[in-house]
Order: sequence, then C-alpha cells, then structure tokens
Amino acid sequence: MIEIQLNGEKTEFSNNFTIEELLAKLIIDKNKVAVELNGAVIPRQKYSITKIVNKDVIEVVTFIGGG
Amino acid sequence: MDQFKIGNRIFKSRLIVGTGKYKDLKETSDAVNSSGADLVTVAVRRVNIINAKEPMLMDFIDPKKITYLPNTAGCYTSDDALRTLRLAKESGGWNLVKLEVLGDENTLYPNMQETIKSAKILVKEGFEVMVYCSDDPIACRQLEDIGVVAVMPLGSLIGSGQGIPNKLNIEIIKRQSKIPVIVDAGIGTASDAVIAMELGCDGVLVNSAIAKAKNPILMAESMKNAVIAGRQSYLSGRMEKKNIAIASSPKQGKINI
Repeated sequence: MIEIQLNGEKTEFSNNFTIEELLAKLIIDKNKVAVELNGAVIPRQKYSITKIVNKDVIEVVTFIGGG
Repeated sequence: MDQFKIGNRIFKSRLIVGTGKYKDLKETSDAVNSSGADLVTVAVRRVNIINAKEPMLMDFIDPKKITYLPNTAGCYTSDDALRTLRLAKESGGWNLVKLEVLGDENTLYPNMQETIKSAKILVKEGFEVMVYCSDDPIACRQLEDIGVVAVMPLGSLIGSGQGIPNKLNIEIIKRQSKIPVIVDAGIGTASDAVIAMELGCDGVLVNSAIAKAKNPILMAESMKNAVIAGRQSYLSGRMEKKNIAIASSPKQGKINI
C-alpha cells in the first residue's frame, strides 16, 4: 500500500506504478495535462518510466479559462 | 504592412482575449471566435481528479488554431509563478507566457519587485515573457531591459471596467518602448479599447468586458472592431485640435438671398 498526495488530496493505492499508469487509471488524456512530481515538472516522454512511490506529492494540471 | 509581432510570432489580431468568467465553455469558444483573436489567455489549474471526463478548454478552443497564452493569475510569489509557467510549458509545449505576480487581493495590483525577479529567471530559462505590470514607465523599462517580449500595463484594476484613467502614463510607456505595449486590465467597453489603440498601443487584452457584457458574443465583435478602428485612427494621424470653429463647407458660391 502506498499513500500519495494527489492534487492536494491524500490518496491510497495498492501498489507502485508509473505516472503513465496513474493517468490511465484516472482516465486523463496525457496530452492535455502537465505533471509535477515533488515540485519538479516531469516531461511527457518520461511518464512511462517515472515511478510513483510512497509519500510522493503529485500535481496534475491543465489549462482552464482565465484572464 | 502593419504587422503585430510579439517576439518572433506574428498575430492577425491586435485584440487578445481572456477565456475566464464565461457562462460555459461553449460561450467562451463562441466569444473567442466572434472576437477574431488568435491569442487567448488561459489559466493553469489542477485537473478534476474525481471527474476527469468533464469537458476541458482544449475540447472547445483548439490550441493548434488559437495560441494559448498561459498566465499566472492568482500567484502572489515569484516561486508560485515560476512553478505555474514551467508546468504550462510542459502542458502546451511552447514558451510564450503571461507573467503576473499579484501584490494585493483587493486590488490585484501587480507586485513589481516579485514580477521583475520572476521575469529575469523566465527569460534565462528561454521563456518569451509578456508581463502584466503597473503603468509605471520605469518598471516597464526595467522589464524591457531584462528581455521580456511585451509589457502589459494595466489600464485600471483587473475586472473593474474603469477604462484608462491615466492615459499620460500609457503614452509615455508606449513612446519609450521598443517592444509591444499591450493594455491589460480595466477595459470596460469598446471606446476604452479604441482609446488604448489611439494612444499607439500595439494591442489590448480584454476579458471581463466581453464575458460580463449582457451579450458577450456581440461585445466580442464590438471589441474586434474597436481595436481595428483605434489602430486605423492611430495610423491615420488625427487632425489638429482647435479652439475655434472651422467651417467644413466652402463660403464661395453660396447663394445670395
């Protein structure tokens, strides 16, 4: 069991996985978002090789309307 | 050819529109289309993890056709702004961004110290930075010296619709700047946009005046026309102002009764 902070919420998952797998689980189109892992932006091409581990802090953001 | 060039990019429209405050994404998209803008500001926010299927801005406004200008709205520190724009760059894959670092929640006035600090770092990191700033000619010059691609002094407070009370400052900034000057914030109605353009500004950024109009789609078109009219008026060179009347019709040949 791992516990991560995902967009400000504590979230539990049963096993370790990659960012790519996380986005797939959440049904998020990876081409429309950006991911920050523990304060560092992760380039899209590294999603499939970047592992998420216990206590990681993840932000998944996208563009919304703004001035 | 009167081109609107920011950095190395050429835009068709001198009107930049914000995509916030609309009723829904359909209205946002309709207003953008009606405005003729090919550059729109967008905010960077967390994805709704619980309902990731909810419609996204990109489903309504195609970033391949309309350039997204990610902003740092709501950022009060340099660190926050930098973090937001680094994420924006990865989301969209481009370098053109709008930096704004706010200093106060009631006025949303820019904190120029933090703004200048952030601009320096962003320029070093290869960003093309357009900067929301105070209408202070010195701050604008400092930003230009740093290497930002456009300065965007406020006409008046964000979302206030108070127009451009201090035209003199905007004029000074325009006169001294070699990079585009875009009036950002405060435009309330079409005549405000015309004034900005007649002052010689290179462009205008409008959000609330369109989104909060009773008919946003029609106001978007009005802003488009206002920016074109203002630009044409500026390029034409207005007539000299006089304190006496000068008749428009000739005296000669007038019939005698």
